[in-house]
Amino acid sequence: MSDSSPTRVLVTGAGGPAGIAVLRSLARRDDVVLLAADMDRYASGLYLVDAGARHLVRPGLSEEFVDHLVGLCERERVDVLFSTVDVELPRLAAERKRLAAVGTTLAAPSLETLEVCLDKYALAQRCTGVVRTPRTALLGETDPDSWDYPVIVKPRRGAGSRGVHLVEDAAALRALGSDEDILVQANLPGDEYSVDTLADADGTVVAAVPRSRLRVDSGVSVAGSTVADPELEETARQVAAAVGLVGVANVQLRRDAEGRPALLEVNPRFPGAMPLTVAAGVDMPSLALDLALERPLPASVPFRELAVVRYLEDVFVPLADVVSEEDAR
Amino acid sequence: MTTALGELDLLLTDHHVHSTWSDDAVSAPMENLVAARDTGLASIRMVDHVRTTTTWVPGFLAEISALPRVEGLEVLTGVEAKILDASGRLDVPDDLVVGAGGVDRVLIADHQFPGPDGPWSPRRTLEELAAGLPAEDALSILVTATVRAMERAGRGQLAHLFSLLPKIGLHESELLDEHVAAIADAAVRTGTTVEVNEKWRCPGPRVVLQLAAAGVTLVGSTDSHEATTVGRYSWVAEAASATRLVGTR
Repeated sequence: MSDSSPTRVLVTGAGGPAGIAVLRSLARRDDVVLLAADMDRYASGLYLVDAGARHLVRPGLSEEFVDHLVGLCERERVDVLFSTVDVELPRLAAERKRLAAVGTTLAAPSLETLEVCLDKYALAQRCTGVVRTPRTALLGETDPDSWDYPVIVKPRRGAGSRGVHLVEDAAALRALGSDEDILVQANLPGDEYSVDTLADADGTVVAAVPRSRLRVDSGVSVAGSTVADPELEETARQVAAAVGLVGVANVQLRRDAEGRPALLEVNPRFPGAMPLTVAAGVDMPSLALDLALERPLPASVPFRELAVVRYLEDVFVPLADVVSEEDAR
Repeated sequence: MTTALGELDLLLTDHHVHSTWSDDAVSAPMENLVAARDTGLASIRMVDHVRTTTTWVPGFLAEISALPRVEGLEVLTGVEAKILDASGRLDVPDDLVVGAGGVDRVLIADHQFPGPDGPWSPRRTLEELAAGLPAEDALSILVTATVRAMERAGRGQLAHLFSLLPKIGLHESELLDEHVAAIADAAVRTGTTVEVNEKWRCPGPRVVLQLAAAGVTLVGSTDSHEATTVGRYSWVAEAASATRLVGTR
C-alpha cells in the first residue's frame, strides 16, 4: 500500500475481551481504519467501529470459515488481519499465503509456533530443559501412584480455563481413565503470572510484561497488576525463543515450591487483559501492527508497575443499529 | 450549469447495497428495503457477491422479487464480481442469467489488479511497478481489462471504479484523459452505469465530470453492508454538489 492511504485492519473475535483490547488500542492510531468481525451479531466490539465496517463471519471451526474470511479480506482490502480467537488461528496461519495473495498480512505467530503452543504436551516437551516445567504426562501413559497430590488435569488442547481441575488422589486420577487428550501436571504451589510477550521478526523479545492475576472471573483477569521481576521476564524470553515466537503471545508461569517460575502454558494470541499491558507502557497491538507492516520495532520497550480493576462497559446504539435476528442465515 | 444525469438525481439512488446473501453483510433484503424507504431513495439496487462457484443466485432473486412493493421506490438487482485478468474475464457463475429472468446488472469490481496471468495481489503489483512496469502501462492494463469486462458483462455497472489505485501506490491523477475517455466510450456503448462510491470515495471529481460530460449514467452507491448506511451520503453529496452534478441539498 502507499504511505498515504490508511492501513485497513480487520479484528476478528470482536465480542471477546482480547478483540476489544486490540480494537481499542488500534483506534488510537490515526493511520488506521478499523473493521471488526465476529460470528455473533451482538458482539460488543462490532459496535466500536463504524456501521459500514461491521462484518459477520462463520464460526472458526466451520468448513467455509477460511474461504469466507479470505473473500472478506479481498473485498474489504484488508491490509492486516488480527485474529483473537484460538480456533481460528491455526486455520488462518495455514492459509497465510492465500491471505497474502489478496493483499492481507496475518498478524499472528507462525503455524509451527501456534501448533506447539496449542498442544500443551508438545509445549512441555519443547520447553523441558530450557526453563523450569512442572512434571507433565499424558493421562493414559502415567502411573497414578507416581504423583504427589493434588495434581492438575487439563485438556491437551484447549483455551482458557475450560476443563482444568484439581484431582485429589490416585484413585480419582485412575477413575478418569486413559484419555490420550488429557494431561496430568504437577500442581505448583506458588503464585501465577501471565507474561505478555512480544517478539520481533528475528524472534528478539521486545517486551515481556508480567502481570499478576489478582482476581479471575471465567478465565479473564478482572483485577491485576504488572510486576517488574527480571526472573519472570527472562523465563518468558526463553520460552519465546524455544517456541520460535514472532508476534504476541501470553506466557503463563507459576512459582514452584522453591519460588522459581515454571512454565504452565503459552496462549499464542492477545490476552483479554492486554489493556493493562498497554497502559503500563507497552502497546502490543500497535507494535504488532508495525511488525505486520514490516516496520522496524524498538529494541526494547520498558513498562511500569501499574494495577487495574476492570468493569463491564456499555455501548449504547440506536435500536435500528442493532443487527436483528432475521439477519441470521 | 448542472450536468445531465439521466432520470434520477444520483443522491436519490443507491445502486450497491449488500444483504445477508453476501457472506459478510449483516442486514436482510427486507431491512435494506425499509432503510431505502425511510431514507427517501427513489431507486435501490440489491447486490451480492458472487464467484464462479456461487449457486444461490436464483434464491436471491426470488427473495428480492417477493419483497413488498414500496410506492416511489424502484428495486433493482445485481451481482458483484471481480475482474479476474487482463482479458476482462469476470468471476461469475457460468450459468448466470443477466437481463430478463436473471439479475439486472453485473457489478464489475476492481478487487485485485487484473494481471495478464490472473489477479495480482497489491504486493505483486507493487513489485511489478518497482521492477520497471511503468505506472502508465499498469493503468492501461487496468483500463483495458475494465473495458473488456464491460463488453463481457452485457449489462454492467462499474463498482467503486479505481478504488484499487491507492492500494497499489497509484492515484487517479496519474490517469491520462485517454484512459478516462476509453472507460466513458465503453460505458456509453455498452450501457454500463458507473457508481460514485461513498465507501471508497471514488472515482474522484475529475473522472466523474469527464464521464458525465460523455453521457455516462452515474449512480450513487454506498456499498452498504448494513441497513443503517443505505442511502447515506456525505462524500458523494459533497463531491456531487461541488462539481455541480446536482443542486445543493
